[in-house]
Amino acid sequence: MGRTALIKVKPRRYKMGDIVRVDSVIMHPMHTGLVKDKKTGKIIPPHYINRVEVYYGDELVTSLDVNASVSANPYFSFNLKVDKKAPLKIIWKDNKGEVTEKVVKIKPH
Amino acid sequence: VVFSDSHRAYADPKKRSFEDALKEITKGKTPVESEKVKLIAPSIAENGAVVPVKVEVKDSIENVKAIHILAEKNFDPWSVSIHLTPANGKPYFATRIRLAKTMNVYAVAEMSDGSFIMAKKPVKVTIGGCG
Amino acid sequence: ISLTGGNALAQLNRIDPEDLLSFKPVGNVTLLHICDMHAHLKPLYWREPSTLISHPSLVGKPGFLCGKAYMDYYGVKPDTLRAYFDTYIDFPELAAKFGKMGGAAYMATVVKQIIAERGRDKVLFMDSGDTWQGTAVALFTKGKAVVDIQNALGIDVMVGHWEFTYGKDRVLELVENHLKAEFIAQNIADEMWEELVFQPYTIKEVGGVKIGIIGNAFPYTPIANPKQFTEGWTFGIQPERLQGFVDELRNDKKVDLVVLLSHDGFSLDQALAKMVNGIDIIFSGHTHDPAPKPIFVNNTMIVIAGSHGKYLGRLDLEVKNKKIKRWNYKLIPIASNFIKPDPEVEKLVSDIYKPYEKKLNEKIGVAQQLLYKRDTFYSTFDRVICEAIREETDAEIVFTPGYRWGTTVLPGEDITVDHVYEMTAITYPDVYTFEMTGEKLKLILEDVADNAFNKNPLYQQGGDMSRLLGVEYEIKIDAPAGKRLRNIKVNGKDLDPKRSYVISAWGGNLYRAGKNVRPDHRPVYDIVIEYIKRHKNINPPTESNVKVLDFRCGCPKEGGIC
Ligand SMILES: [Mn+2]
Ligand SMILES: [Mn+2]
Repeated sequence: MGRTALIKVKPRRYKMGDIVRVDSVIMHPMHTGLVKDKKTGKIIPPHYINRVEVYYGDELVTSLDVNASVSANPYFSFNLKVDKKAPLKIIWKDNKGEVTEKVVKIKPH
Repeated sequence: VVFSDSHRAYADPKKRSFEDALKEITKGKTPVESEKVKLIAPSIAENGAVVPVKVEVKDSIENVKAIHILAEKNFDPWSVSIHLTPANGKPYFATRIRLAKTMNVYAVAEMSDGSFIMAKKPVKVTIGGCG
Repeated sequence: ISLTGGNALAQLNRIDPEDLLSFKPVGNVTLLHICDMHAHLKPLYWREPSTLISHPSLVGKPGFLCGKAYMDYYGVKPDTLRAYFDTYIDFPELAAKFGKMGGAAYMATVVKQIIAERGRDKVLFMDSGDTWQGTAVALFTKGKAVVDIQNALGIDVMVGHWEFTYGKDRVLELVENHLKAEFIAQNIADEMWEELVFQPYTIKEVGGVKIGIIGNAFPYTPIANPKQFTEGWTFGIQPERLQGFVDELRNDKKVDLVVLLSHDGFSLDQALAKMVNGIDIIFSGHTHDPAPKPIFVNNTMIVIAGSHGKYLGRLDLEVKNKKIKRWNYKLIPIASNFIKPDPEVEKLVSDIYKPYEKKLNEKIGVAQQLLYKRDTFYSTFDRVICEAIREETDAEIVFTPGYRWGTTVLPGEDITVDHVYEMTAITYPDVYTFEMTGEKLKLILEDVADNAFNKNPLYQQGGDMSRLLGVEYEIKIDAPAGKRLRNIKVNGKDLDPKRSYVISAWGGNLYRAGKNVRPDHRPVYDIVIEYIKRHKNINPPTESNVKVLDFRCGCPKEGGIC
C-alpha cells in the first residue's frame, strides 16, 4: 500500500439514510508519456492511475476508468447513500500494476 | 456488475479526435445537450495542469449509469469515466484534469435507457499577467 | 461640523465645500464604500484614462466609458470639479485649479461627518480591496501602514486582490492580528479539499436592518499575479457557490438584504448579476471606474467607487419588508483642497511616512509634460519606465504591465522617489531579460489582447494592454481571438516568427515563457530612479505605438461612434 491516499467524508456527522460526499486524493505523479524530462531530455514513460474501485462493505458501489490526463495527485469526489455501518474501501490501481488501498469507517449517528 | 460497464481496455493515451473518443464512449450514439447536466468548470483556468471539473445530473440515481469527462483538444480527449450505482444516492462527480490549451470540456451522462445527454463549457488556458 | 474654515481657493472656484457632501439622507441605512485605494494615504494627482477601448459590443456601457463619452453619459459639464475628477480632459489646467485628490485624513473628515450626522449604528463601511498595495510606505511595511489607516477610517468589511501579493502568510497575519475589519471571501478555497480559507460572509445589523454581506476576492488573482503568493489556494468566480450562500442568507439566516462586496471588476459583476439571483446590491471594485450613478441588472443594483482614494461612495437606503423602498447614492469626490484634514489621521499618516520621508521626498527630475498611467495601450509614465529598462538591459523589446494603478505628475512638477514607487511598488519588482521567438511573442500578445478585449466579461481580467517599447503594431479589436494583431514591427522591421528576440519585462509571468534568462535582475524602481536622475528633464513622446483599426478615437460612445 505504498502511496499516501486520503479519504474525507462530508459532513463529519451524518445519520442513516443521509447522502454524504466522499472526497478522495491519492499522491501519484500521473505521467502521461508525452512529456520530456527537463534534465535528461528523454520522454518520461506513462505512469498513471487507470482504475479505481469503491467498496461499501462487500458491495462495489462505484468504479472509475481513468486516463493519464487526470491531474497529478488525482482527486475524485462522489456521493454515497449511508444505509449501513460498514467500511468504505477505495482501491487505486495504476498502469504498472501498483495497487493502493484506503479504508474509512462509515458510522451513522 | 459495474465492471462490465467499463468501455476501456487500459491502453495508454492515444492521439485521436474528439469525435473518435466520444464515439467509443457512446458506441456511436450522438449525445444531446441537456439542461439536466450541470457542468461546473472555471471560465479561465488558474493552471492548465489542474482544472477542477464538477458534474451534477438533475435526475434520479437509478436513471444515470455513468458520467464521462472529455477535453476536446487534448492529445487523447477522453479523461475519466465514473460508473455509478443506486448506492451513490445522487448523480454527482468532481475531479481535476489537465488541459493542454484553451478548449471545451464535456460532461457526458450515460443514462440507464442507453441514451446519452451532455453539457459543455469552454475553459480558457492563458499565461495571463496584466493585473 | 464644518469641513473647512473658508478656504480661499474654494471661494475662488465658487465651490462650497459643504456642496461636496450635500446629500439628501434616506431611510436608516448608510453604506459607505471605497475600492482600489492602492495605498494612497496622501493626496495625489490621478488622471482617468484617455483611451478605454473594449469589444464593440461593450463600447459606451458603464465600465467602458471615458473622456467625452463619459461626460455625455453621466451629464458632467466641462471645466467642473467632476470633469476634473472623472475624466482626463484638460487635466493639467484643472489640476492647477482644483488641486490634489484623495488622502486618508481628508476621507476621514468626510466619514466622521457622515457618522456624526447619521449615528454609528446606522453606518457600515466597506472596502472592495486593492487597498494594501501601490505605494512605497505600503511596500516597506508589508501592508501594515495601510491596515492602520483602515482601522482609523473604521472599515468594517473588506475583500482583496493585490493584498495577496504580500503572500498568504502575511495576509493571514495582518487579518488575524492587525486588521479590525472582517476579511471575507466565498471564492478562496484550499486546493486539496476545496475548504474555504476565509469566512464567506458576515451578517451586520445596520439601522435595524439585517444585512448579509458575501465577499468575492479577485477571481483571477493566481493568473494576474504570480501563483507562488497563493500557493495551495484556488480562486475563480464560483457563481454556483455564491448562489448557495445567497440562498443560505435569505432562507436560513433570514437577512433583510443580501450584498456582494466584490473585487470582480465592474463588467464582470454586471455579468454575474445575470447569473446569480437574489443579490440586492453589488459593491464592485478592480476596474477603477468612477460611476456616479448605480446601474441595475435584473434586480441587482451595482456601484463602483473609482480608485486611488479619490472617492467615497455613499448609499442610503430605506428598507421595508426585505425590499429597498428608496435609495440615494453619491460618489463623493475627496477634493483635498476643500476639506479640512482630520488631525488624528493626518498625524497617523505623517508618523507612517516619517522613517521614509527623506528617501521618498528626494527630487530626482522634472516632468517636461504630463506623466500619466491610464490608457488602453500606451502611457507617458510607462514609456519612461520602458526607456529606463532598455538603457539598463539593452533589450530589443521592453514590456511593462498594463496595471490600472499608478500616479500622475503634472508638467513642470518635480519627480520624486515616491512617484516612482507609486508606479512600481510591487513585491516582485525584478526586471528579467530573456529570449523568445517572434512566434511566441505574437502568441502572448494575442493572449493578453484576448484578456482585455474579449466580448464576454467572464473572460476579461480587467487590466489594460501590456505596454511595449521596440514594438509597433495595428490591432483590430473586433477580430477573433488570436487574429487581432497585424503588421507587427520590431524596431522598424517586420516581426520574424522564427527569430529569437531579447526581451526585458517586469511585473508578470512573461519571463517564465522565455529562454536563457540572464542571471542579473534588479528591481524596476531602482532602474527607473537612476534613469530619471541621469536624464533629469523627462520628456517622453506622447504618440502611442499602437494603431487601432476599428475605432477612430480613444473614448468611443455606444456603437463605436466618436
Ligand atoms: Mn485596483
Ligand atoms: Mn484589482
